[in-house]
Amino acid sequence: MDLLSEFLVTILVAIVMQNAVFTRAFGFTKGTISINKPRKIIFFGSTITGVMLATAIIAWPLNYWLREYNRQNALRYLLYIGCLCIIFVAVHLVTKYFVPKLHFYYRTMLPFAVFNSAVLGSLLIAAGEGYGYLKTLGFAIGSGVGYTLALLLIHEGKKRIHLSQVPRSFRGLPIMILYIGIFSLAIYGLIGHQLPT
Amino acid sequence: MNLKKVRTYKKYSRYWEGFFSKNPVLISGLALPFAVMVSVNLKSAVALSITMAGTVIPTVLLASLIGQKLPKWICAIIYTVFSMVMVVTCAALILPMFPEIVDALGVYIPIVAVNTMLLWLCSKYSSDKPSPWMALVDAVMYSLGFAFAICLISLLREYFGNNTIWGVAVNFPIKFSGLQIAFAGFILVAFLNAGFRGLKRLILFAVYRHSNPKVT
Repeated sequence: MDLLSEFLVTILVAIVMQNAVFTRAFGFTKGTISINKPRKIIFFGSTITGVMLATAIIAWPLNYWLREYNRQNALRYLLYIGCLCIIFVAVHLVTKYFVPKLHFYYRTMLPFAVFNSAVLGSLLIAAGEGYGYLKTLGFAIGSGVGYTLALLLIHEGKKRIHLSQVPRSFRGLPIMILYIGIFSLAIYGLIGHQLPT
Repeated sequence: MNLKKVRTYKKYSRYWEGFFSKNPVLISGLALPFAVMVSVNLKSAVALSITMAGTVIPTVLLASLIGQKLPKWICAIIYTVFSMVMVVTCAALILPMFPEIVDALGVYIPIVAVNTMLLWLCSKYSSDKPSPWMALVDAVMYSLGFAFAICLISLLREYFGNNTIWGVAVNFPIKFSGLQIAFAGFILVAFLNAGFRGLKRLILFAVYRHSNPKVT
C-alpha cells in the first residue's frame, strides 16, 4: 500500500509541481508549442510518455549495476542515450513491419519524440535524485502526462490569444513564451514558494 | 518599387543569419530551455556556450558528410550518440575551468545532445544538397548566435537579479531577486524575442527606405 501511494504521489508531483515545461522548460520549443490540434498533441504526448516509461524500465537496472563505474556522470549520460536509441530502433522496426499505418505517422515525428529534452531530462533527473525503481517509473509516467497536459494548456491559450489584438512584435512566439512564463509563475506560487525579498 | 538593395542584403546576410536574422534563441525559438533556465549568471552561459559550440559544430559537419548516404532513422541515432560523446568530452574539458558551474548546470549539460538547434541543423544538412562549407558556416554562426543570446540574457539576469557580473559585486541600488527564477527567464526571453523581431523588421525597412526614398 505504501509503495502504491508513493507511486501515485510521484506521478502527481511530476505532473504538477515538477512539470517538465513550466518548471524546467524541457521540451519547450517553437515546434512543440505550434502543434495545432489537440489530437496531435495527445498522440505526441502519449508517444513521449511511452518512450519515457520504456526507457526507464530498461535504463534503471543498468544504471544501478554500473553505478560504481560512473565517473562524473559520463557513463550515465551515455547509458541513457543508448537506451533511448534502443527504444527508437525497436519502435521504428516494430511499427514498420507490424503496424505500417502507425509507422506512416511516426516517420517524421518519432526522432523528435524520442530524442527530446523532456524525455532525457526527466529520466536523468530521476536517476540523479536516486529514485527507486517504482518511483522512477512513476516519475516517467508523470513527466509524460504533465508534458502532454502542458502542451494542451498552451494550445488552449494560443486559441484565445489568436482572437485578441497583440502588438505586432509580440505576435507568434513571444506572446506564447510570455503566456508560459505567467503559467510558470502560477505554478511557482502553487508549490508554496515566496518570491525572494 | 526598387528591391535591389533588400535582395542584396538578404543574399549577404545568408552567411551571418544564424547570428542575427535567424538567431536560434532570440528569433527562431530554438534551444529555449537553456535560455530560460540556465542563463542566471554569465559563467554558466559561457560554460554552456562552449559545450554547445563543441557539440554542434562537429555534429553538423558529420551530418553534412554522411547525411545523404544513410537512411534517416540510422542518421538520427548516429547524430545523437556522436553529439552525446562530444558533450561528455566538452564537459570534461570545461570542468577544470568552471568546476562549480558544471555541477550547477546539472541535467542541462547532457540535454545539449538532444537540443532542437542541433536536431534542426542536422536535419537541414542531411536533406537536399548538403554542402560541408555552408554546414560549417551555419554551425559556427548558430553557435555564436546562441552564445550571444544566452550571454545577453545572463548578463541582464545576473546584473539586475544578483547585482554581480561574472561573480564580482557591482554597485546598483535595486536588486530584482525574482529575475533569478524560472518564470522571469520566460518573460525576459519573450521581451527580448519581441525586441529582436522588431529590430530585424526595422533594419529591413531601413534598407528598403534607402533604395525607395519617395515611396510612401
